[in-house]
Parts: sequence; C-alpha cells; structure tokens
Amino acid sequence: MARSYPLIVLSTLACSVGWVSAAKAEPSGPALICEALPDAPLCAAGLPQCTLCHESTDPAMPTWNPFGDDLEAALDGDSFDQLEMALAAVSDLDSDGDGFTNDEELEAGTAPGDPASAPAVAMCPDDADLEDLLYRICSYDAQYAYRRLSLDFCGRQPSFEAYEAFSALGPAEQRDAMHETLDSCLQSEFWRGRDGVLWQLAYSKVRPVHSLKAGLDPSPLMQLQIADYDHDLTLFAYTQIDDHDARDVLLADYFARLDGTTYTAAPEPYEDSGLACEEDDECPAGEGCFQNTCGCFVGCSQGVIPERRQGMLTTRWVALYSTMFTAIPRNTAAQAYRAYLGYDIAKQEGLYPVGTPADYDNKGVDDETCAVCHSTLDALTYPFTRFSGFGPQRAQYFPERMEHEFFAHEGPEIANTPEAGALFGQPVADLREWAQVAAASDAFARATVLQYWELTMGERPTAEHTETFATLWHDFRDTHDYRVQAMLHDLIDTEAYGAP
Amino acid sequence: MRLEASSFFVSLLLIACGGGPAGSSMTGTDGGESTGATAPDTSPTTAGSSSSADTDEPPEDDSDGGTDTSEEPPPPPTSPTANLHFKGPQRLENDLTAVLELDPEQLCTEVGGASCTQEVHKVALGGVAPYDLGIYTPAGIGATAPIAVDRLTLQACMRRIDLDRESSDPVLFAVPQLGGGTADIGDPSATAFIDALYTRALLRHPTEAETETLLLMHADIAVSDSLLPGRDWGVATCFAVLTTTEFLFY
Repeated sequence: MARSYPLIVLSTLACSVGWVSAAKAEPSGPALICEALPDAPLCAAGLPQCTLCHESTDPAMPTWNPFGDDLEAALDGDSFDQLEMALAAVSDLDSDGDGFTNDEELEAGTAPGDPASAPAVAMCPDDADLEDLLYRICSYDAQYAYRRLSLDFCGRQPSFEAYEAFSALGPAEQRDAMHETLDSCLQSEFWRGRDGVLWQLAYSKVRPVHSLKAGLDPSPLMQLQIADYDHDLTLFAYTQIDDHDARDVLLADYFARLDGTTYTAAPEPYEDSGLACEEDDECPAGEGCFQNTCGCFVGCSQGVIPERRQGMLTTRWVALYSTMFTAIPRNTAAQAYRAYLGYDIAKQEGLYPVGTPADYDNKGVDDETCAVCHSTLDALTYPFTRFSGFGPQRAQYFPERMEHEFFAHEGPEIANTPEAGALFGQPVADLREWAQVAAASDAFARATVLQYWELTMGERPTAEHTETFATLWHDFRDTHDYRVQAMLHDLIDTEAYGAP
Repeated sequence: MRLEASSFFVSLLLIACGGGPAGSSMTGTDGGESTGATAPDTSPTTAGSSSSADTDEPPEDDSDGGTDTSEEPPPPPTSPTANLHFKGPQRLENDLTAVLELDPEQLCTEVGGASCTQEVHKVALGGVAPYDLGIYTPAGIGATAPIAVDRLTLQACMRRIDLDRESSDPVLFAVPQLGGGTADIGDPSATAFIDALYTRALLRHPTEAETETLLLMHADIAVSDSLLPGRDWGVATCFAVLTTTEFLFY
C-alpha cells in the first residue's frame, strides 16, 4: 500500500541514520523504504543510495549532506522518537538550495541534499504550437517510434521508401508494422549476432579479457589460456531471445552455441560435442584447457557437474577470473549481485544485514566499519565457497574445498565457513537455492528490464516514467513469464519510448 | 590531398554551413550517449517553415551594435524530454553506407587500413572495446567524438562524390560541370542531389529554404581557392546534411 512521500522520508531517515549510528547489522534504510513503497521514484530501479542523506556512512564518523544535516538538526540527538515531527519540520525546506522543497524533490525522485539534482521543469507546449512539426512531441508518435526502433534494434534507420509506406498506414496497421519490424530486428545480426547488442549487454557481466582467453581466438600466450568466456556471452544472449526464459542466466545447466544468428542449446559444452574420442580425431586448434583421452583440449567453458551448474554463476570463466585463488570469493558474489540483481555493494546498494559476520578468513570483516557491508556480502558469498577457482579441483564444485584448499593459508577458522548463506536476508542452503531465490526476486525482474530500459531510453527511469517502468517489469515477471522479447514488444508501445 | 581537402572543408563549413540544415550537431555534447540535449536545434524541425535555414541568412547590418530580433520567427517548440541518442559507431556506419551506397570498407581508415568505426575511433564514437581494453560499456561522447564524426563523414562524402564523378551511372551526384570546375547548380540535378541526400539521410524532403541555403553555398566555394568548386560543393553539401543533429541523433 503506497504511503505519502513525507512518510517515505520518515522511513528513509529513520532507517538510514539509525543504521549508521548503530553501525552494524541494523536493518538497511534503503531496503525498508522500498519495502514500504516499492513503486516510488526512489525505488523504481533499485534501492536508493545512502547519499540520499549521507556524504559518508563511515560508522566512526558519519557525515550528512544538507538534507541530512537539516534532519539531524531537527532531531533530538540520536533519538528517532521525534523523527516524524522532524521530517515534517524539514519537508518544506529547500535543504540544498536548488529552488525545490525537500518534498517536491522526493516526489520527483531527485535528491533533496544535492543542488545538482532537481526536478525537471520542462513543459509541453500548447497544442497550437505543435502544428507542422515533423514529430508530435509530448504524445506517442508512431513515425518517430518506427525510426527509433529500427535504429535501436536493427541498427539502421529505415529507407525513405519504407518510411513513407509506413507513414501512409492507418494507426492499427502502423502498430502491426512496428511489431513486425521489431520481431524482424530481434533476429538480426546487429541484435543477436556475435558482438551484437546482446553480447554488449553481457560484457559488463562477464568482463571478458582476451589475454586470458581459451578456445577459439585464444590468448597468444598458451599458459594464460584459462577459460573460454564465449560460452558465457553466448549463454546470456541465448536466454534473452526467442521464447527463452531469462531466468536461465542463473538457472541453466546447459550450454548455448552460436552459428551466425542461430543459437542452439546443448547439454554439454559445445567444444566437447564434436570431439568423439576416436583414434583418428583431429583436435581443434587453440583449445587450451585440459586434455581428454584423445589428447584434445576440452572443458574450456565448464568444469562443474550438471547438478551443480547455475547458469552464468558457475562457469569456468567466473571460477578462474573472479574467484581465482580466493577462499571466500566475495568478488564473485558481489559481481553476481551487481550484474543480475542490480545491486552494487561497493555503492552500499542492496544491503540486507543478517547479523555481524564471522571472520572465517581473518580479514577483519567483523570490524564495526566493515560489518556495515560485510553483514550482507559475506552471507551472500558463502554459497559460492564450494566452487573452486584455481586449485586442485580447478573450476569444479568441491564440497570439501575450504578444508582441503585453504586450511594452511587462511587459518583453522576457514574450515568452519558454512556453505549456507543468505540472499535478501533470506537463508539459502547452497548456490542452487541462492540462484532460485535470486531468479524469483523482484530485483532480478527489475534489473533485467532496467538494462533494456537504459539501452533504449539512454537513462534510468525518470519520475515521470516510474509507473511505466514498474508496469513493464511486473508484466515481464507475471504476464510474460520472463520472456525478454515479449517485454520489448510492450516497451515500444509505451509513451516513454514513442513520444519525442 | 585528402587531408588538405578535409581542412578546407572544415574551415569552409564553419563559415558557410554553421546553421546548416539543422546546425552543427556535436559540439555541445555532454559526455553521454544519450545527450539529454535541450538546444533548440535538437527539437523536431518545423516542416514547411524555415526556422533553421533562416539562421543561415546573411546577418543584417548590425553596425549599431545589435540585430533587430523583432522579425525573427519564434524558435520551434522544444520537447520536454529532448532525450536524443547519438547513433554511435555501428549505427553510424550502417546509415552512412546505406545513404551513400558504400561498402563499410570504403569508409575511412587510419594508418593504412584500420577501420575508423570498428577500430580506431570506435570508443571515441561511443562504442566499446571489451576484450583488449576492458571498456565494457560506452564511455560516453567525449571531446574527440565530433572530430571523429567529421573525419568519418567527410571522407565518406568525398568517396561518394568522387565515385559519382567518375561514373556513367552516378548514385547521387550528377550535377553538370561548368568552366573553372564549377557546378551548374541551376540544373535540376542539383536540387535532385540535395533532395536525394535529405530523403536518404533525414527521411524527408528539404524545405525550400534548406535547398536554397545549400545552393547558395556554391557561390562561396566558387570564390575560394578550391580547384574543383563544383566537386567541393557536392562534398560540402553532403557533409552538411550528414552532420546534422537530425541525422546523427535519434
């Protein structure tokens, strides 16, 4: 049930300031805000950042921006009993001096503590001013949208003849033509081909590095050919096309192969499928992972048994590039959290503390300052700890990994590291459960749709489009059963997309 | 030879085409692929009026220290979103090759063969370079983007015009040549050339004022030190249309 914006402020500050004062393992302010008001502008594309009130959240010396300062002044010390009154007292202030009150800023989704962030004041011109324009600004314009979608999804504008033919159609026919064009574009090399748009979306998730590549077009240095990330990029694209389930980025136990613009799925790594082990076999060149009984290098993309594979979380590239030699691979978990759920812990996003973390690897994570983030991050990471990076069980699932690989280096406590952890504050037994919780979460649906919103709109949802964005990701989850292609058909129909 | 021509055109166009069909497009970019531009020249052009072309009229005598703005038409209305996207390297390559009927290999290259759009200027144009440089998302449009666009577009226009001049079946530029290397801009083929550029690149016909502005540019080039003013007018006209905000952004 939506609350009014002053109450959002109440939640925000009560949680945020309280969390910092208590320093560790307190409920995350941003998370509580969005639980209370999931479709508020602040929460449309994830959780608001601590910078809503803070300049620094260092528990030893927290500092606030002008909005946080005003609120702090209105409070009685660290007591939050009077927070509601304090918020009421600051709601009509213009803390950052940008000409808009704090309430106006929160309603518009801008930052009341940052003078560089202010609500837009642009207005649509009178109807009379819209005559004779090439595009009908301020409302959906099919011709504009047609050109735009051709460029967005096909990578080229339509020809003049096609554009004229489209313009001559009636509204219903124009709409049909747009959706036919979209379907056609989604089959194009530009969209789904190697290094096409979908691969480009995957780059920041996979973070490929050619000097470490195995497989086709490998690193020139044989000893550095650690894994073939083409599998990761291909699998991501596969989950985003046709009638495929986008949740498989986290759940797939299969492999995808790309031939031109055609993707196929196979139960085993594609580089293995053509390598029946017979005497006269010729090994493909450049495959540098490990050798099968014929002497061919195989397994460049996956070493985990099918029962333990979790889409893009457990590939050989992730194991060797992100986990590497680390006992508790926080980097791997944080990247998964960032890439697939939209929360960047380095920016203190998505904090769901579950108590002071135990310091299994003697890194000081139970320190008051560190615990602010590590209470969430370490619980998030434990399910990844049984997947080896480099080591005797390279890139494989290894239940005894902590005892066998790290006891001598990290100290005796490392063996007590649990495989069970927590995601969004919810306990999970292992990575399979982690992935299932993640794939079913609002965060996953929202983050998946957000990447396409940003791709096509060029920005995160503005306050004006908050409701449209929320409808898109809700329908992506509830109506389209996580099919990206269906969601994109909805997206091009929105006024956010089609109004110049 | 081409470098000299580039320098010539850049200098010339700064003078002759400053307002152009829709103005120079990228000098005010703000560092993101989506510009969020709000300048008047990013708003939809007024069809049938001459708001943008009018800015190319020679200035009135302003010896009194200012021009009389009372007769200037009001600026076209501006979209409250004004959220334009720069095409970036791949879309730009696709559209340039389609408009000018060139192969991608016929677009500009550097140091003897490195593609401007796919290699050398890819990142400057808002592309990514994941495998070797670790640039996984577009870095935005920086200060070198307009230079790269000018380089790319000017070379493409020169290639098209030169091919057409040598061809018995020209694609775009079939304007008869007169003495001194000038072009017969009174010939219908001159306006047809402009119209073809507009329809192919901007998906619309030019306004009368836009056509007139581009035709008038020939006179400026004819009195310059150009050795082939007719050819150079063709290149400059092509360059002017293909560097508009209307073409480069969407």
